[in-house]
Amino acid sequence: MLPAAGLLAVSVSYLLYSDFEREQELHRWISHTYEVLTQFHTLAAFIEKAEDIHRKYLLTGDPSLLGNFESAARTEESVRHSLMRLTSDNPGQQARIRALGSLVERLFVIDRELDKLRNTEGIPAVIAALQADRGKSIVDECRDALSAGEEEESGLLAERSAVAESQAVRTRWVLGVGTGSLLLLLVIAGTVIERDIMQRERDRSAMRRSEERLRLAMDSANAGIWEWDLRTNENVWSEELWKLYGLEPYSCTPSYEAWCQILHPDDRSNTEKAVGDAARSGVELNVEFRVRGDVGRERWLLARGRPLRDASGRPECFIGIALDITHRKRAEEILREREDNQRRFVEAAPVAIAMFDREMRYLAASQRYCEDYNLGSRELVGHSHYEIFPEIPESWREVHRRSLAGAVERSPGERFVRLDGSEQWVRWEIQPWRSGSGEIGGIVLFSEDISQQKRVEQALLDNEARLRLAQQIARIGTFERNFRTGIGAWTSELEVMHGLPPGGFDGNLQTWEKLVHPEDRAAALRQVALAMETGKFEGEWRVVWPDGTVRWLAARGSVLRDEKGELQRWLGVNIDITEAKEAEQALRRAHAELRESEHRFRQIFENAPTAIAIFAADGRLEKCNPAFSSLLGYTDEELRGASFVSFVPPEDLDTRLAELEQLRTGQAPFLQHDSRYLRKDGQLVWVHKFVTLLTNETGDEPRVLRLLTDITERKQADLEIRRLNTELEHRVSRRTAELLAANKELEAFSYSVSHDLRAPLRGIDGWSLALAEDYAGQLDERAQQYLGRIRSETQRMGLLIDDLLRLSRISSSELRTVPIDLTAMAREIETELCEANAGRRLEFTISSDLTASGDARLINIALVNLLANAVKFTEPREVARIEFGRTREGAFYIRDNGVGFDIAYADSLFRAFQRLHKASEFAGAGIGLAIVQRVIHRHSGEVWAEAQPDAGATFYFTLGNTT
Amino acid sequence: MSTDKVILLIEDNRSDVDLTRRAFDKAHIANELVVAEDGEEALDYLRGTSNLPAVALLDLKLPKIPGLEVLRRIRADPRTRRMPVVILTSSKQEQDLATGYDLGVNSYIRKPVDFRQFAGCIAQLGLYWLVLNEMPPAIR
Repeated sequence: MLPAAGLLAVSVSYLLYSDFEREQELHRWISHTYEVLTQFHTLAAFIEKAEDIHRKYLLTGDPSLLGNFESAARTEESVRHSLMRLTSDNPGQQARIRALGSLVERLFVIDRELDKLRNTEGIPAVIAALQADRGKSIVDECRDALSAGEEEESGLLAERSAVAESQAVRTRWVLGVGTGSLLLLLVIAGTVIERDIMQRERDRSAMRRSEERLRLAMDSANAGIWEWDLRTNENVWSEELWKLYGLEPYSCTPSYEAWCQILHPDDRSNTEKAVGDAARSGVELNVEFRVRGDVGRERWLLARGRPLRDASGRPECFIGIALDITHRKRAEEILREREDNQRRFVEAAPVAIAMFDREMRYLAASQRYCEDYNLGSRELVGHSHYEIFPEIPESWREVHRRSLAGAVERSPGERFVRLDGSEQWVRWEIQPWRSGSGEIGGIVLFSEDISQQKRVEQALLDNEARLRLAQQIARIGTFERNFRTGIGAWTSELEVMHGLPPGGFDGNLQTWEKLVHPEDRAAALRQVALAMETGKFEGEWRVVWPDGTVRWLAARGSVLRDEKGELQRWLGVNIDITEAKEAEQALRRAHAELRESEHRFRQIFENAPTAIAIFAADGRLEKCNPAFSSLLGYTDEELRGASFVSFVPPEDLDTRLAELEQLRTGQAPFLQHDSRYLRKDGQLVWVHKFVTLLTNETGDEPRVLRLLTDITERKQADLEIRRLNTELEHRVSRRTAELLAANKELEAFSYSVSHDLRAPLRGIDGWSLALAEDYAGQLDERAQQYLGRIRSETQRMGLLIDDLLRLSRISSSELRTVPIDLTAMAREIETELCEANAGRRLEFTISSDLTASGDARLINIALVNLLANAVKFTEPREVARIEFGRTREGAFYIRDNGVGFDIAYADSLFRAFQRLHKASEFAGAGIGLAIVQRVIHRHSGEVWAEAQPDAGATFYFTLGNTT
Repeated sequence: MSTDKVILLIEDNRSDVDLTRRAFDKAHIANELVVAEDGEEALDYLRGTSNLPAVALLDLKLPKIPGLEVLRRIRADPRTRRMPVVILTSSKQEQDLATGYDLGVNSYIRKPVDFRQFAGCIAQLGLYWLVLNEMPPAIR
């Protein structure tokens, strides 16, 4: 049994080895085919490029393009040769490539002929030649040859891929059946040795499980098979797997850890993560990774596995396959490299180029492109054009769509407003690019930032506009006439300054003539005629506008002649100089006025009654008028060159010089006061003088202008007034002293009145009483009565004296003015009066907020008198109503409902000792209202009364300014 | 009532002197009434006497030396400095009142014209100064 198994193992191994070799061979062929195909594409690209460059050269004549063409041609040739080498095994392809070579050579010969044609006969000839289509048919033939070659290779590729596939199937079978048989033999052998034949059934079931695994593996792949028991971490690797892993079969215990060891360091973490994830979650495993090998010979493997689950659904083991995908990966790499090259080619291009796929995603963009659009180092590849530039307008998107449909679009310059508001001017061209199969794969955008150029153009336009504006503002019109062609040109400003609407001038000399003011016309025409002789033209004249406005114009110009002396062109400008002319006339008028003014001034100067003199800075008299000479008593001759000092009294000289200094330092613009001047005869003359400095435009030391008015008489009158004033003051003070003395006397008088007049009264009274007492028995009743009369009269005399004193004191006491609260004062008096008249019904109405300024003591006396009077004269009334208030006009009043009085006697009311009522009716000496009046008058106020008999009385008073 | 106390009346008006004397009599005041008819006489008396009056009744309007000056000298002399002085005058001038009190007068009485009132006034005056009032200690 065992020898049979060994034999089987050897034969299976051989079969597998030979299959592997064959498969390797097939893979090499597939790679080779890919390479040939790639080269075909490259060749096609270079032929088209060379042609494209050549067309551009033909159109532009740019010699650098010729160099580019030659280098493209050279590259094409080398690609073709390498293709020849690659296809050495395929005679059909060799023949095709050779034919293609001769076609290309013919094409290039035609190109070179066209070059010569361009040099000798120019572009139209070339265009004609091109239209003859000779080159185009050859290009088409080239294309046909190329696509035939590509088709052949594509066919070969399909054929070889199919062979490789069938070979893989075969290998799978060999591997599966061989390994299976081997295992079966080994199992049977083991069973025969150790077990009884009854166990076979169970072995078969195990084998079925194994077969199931194998079948699964076969289904999915052509290479290594593995099994990984997740519970025990036991691994089973097929022999092929060991090889794939680059390990000697069974050189170690197969395990997850051992597998990890063979992973390429760069792929380890990713791969372990994928496997770990699958093991945990029990999903299918599908991972690509590299295994370690010699440098440059790592192999790419694809591992696929399915979990087998236990009853609870947890994955208990993975069964899977691994297969070598190195070839696929290499092919992918080559493809990527090609794309990279293409991208690098685009990126390095010295112009702004971007390449997009059909979805407008960036495939590549040149460095210049990124710079032009300020994209910095932003990653573009893979991103949508519209994501990078959301600001792209719909019109451009439409262009992209058209181009993707095959159109070539270009713009000579368009404004591109960026998202941040900045502007760029862009010139662009968009072309579709085609894949090897001729389908449109996307578009290529060539663009050029022409912002700088645009700015220059704009600046140029602005400058022209500014010039035009300047001409309009300055009112300059320009004109030009070509004598040879008779064509004239002028600016619209020229029409404006002739009062014509834009386009209103027909360029005719006669039209112009009619516009010139009739008075100036002949002179203007003379100027024109003169210009034809001298070549220079200069003149001023008036024009009359159609609306009658007259304007002044100045014209300057040149008449140019050619070398033969023939009149050629006439260039000139017109300038509106009306304002300047008017200014000139105004100036002329001003000059005339100045002369007139000078004349007037001289007349005034000569005839003025005021003495006027002008002194030079050094004090010499420069100019004076007759009034000055006569004031100081000199003749004009004597005054010539006289010094200022000689007119000044020596004692005043310092003051005068100080005054001059004041003027010179600018402390005062002028001085004006009275001072003395010295006459020739030595007399002093009083003048009122006005002195100021005269400055002139030359900035010389200023001269001094003096205007002197003789005020000797006034001065004398002043002195008289002063004397009178002094005298008056003396008189006043004397009177005041007299008055003071009189006051003193009055005081002394009232003192003696109070003292000396009372003493005898007391005597009369005393001795009358003594008589009555001591001689009572001897005096009858009548005598006693008489003595009583004597005594009562005596006492009344005493009261009168007291009243008189009080009155005099009111007049003589000093006035001390303070703010007074009259309301409060009246309320206090009210209280006192109510106490003194306890038996009566008194109703007081006192307004609040009555205030005044005055002497509180005196005002109180007046108020007491008035209120007491009111109380006194209301005595017959059951209820006395007394009111103290203020009228709207500001007068205070005290109103009562008393007996009143006849207003006819109101005059005597305020006189001392005057009474309007009988003494028997109302007590009193008649001094109260006299005192009130004194008090009020001392406060510069007024007091008056209104009354009717038996209808009450109202007393009004004001307190002068203090109310 | 001690009758050895002297009352000094400084008054130039004979009528007034007699009326005053009558008023004292009416009031039954028996003390000696010394009368000085002018200021000088009054001051001489005070300088000469060893028994200073219980009170001096001083009129203001006096010949030779006016009343207020007499008062000033009385107050200036250490001997008479504490002597009670009552101004008895017809004048009610504010200025006189003020100066009188400033100079240290003990009382100021205005003579009423009505003799009854005058007599009453004198009676009270005598009662007050001669009976109620304690004399100042004599100055040696």
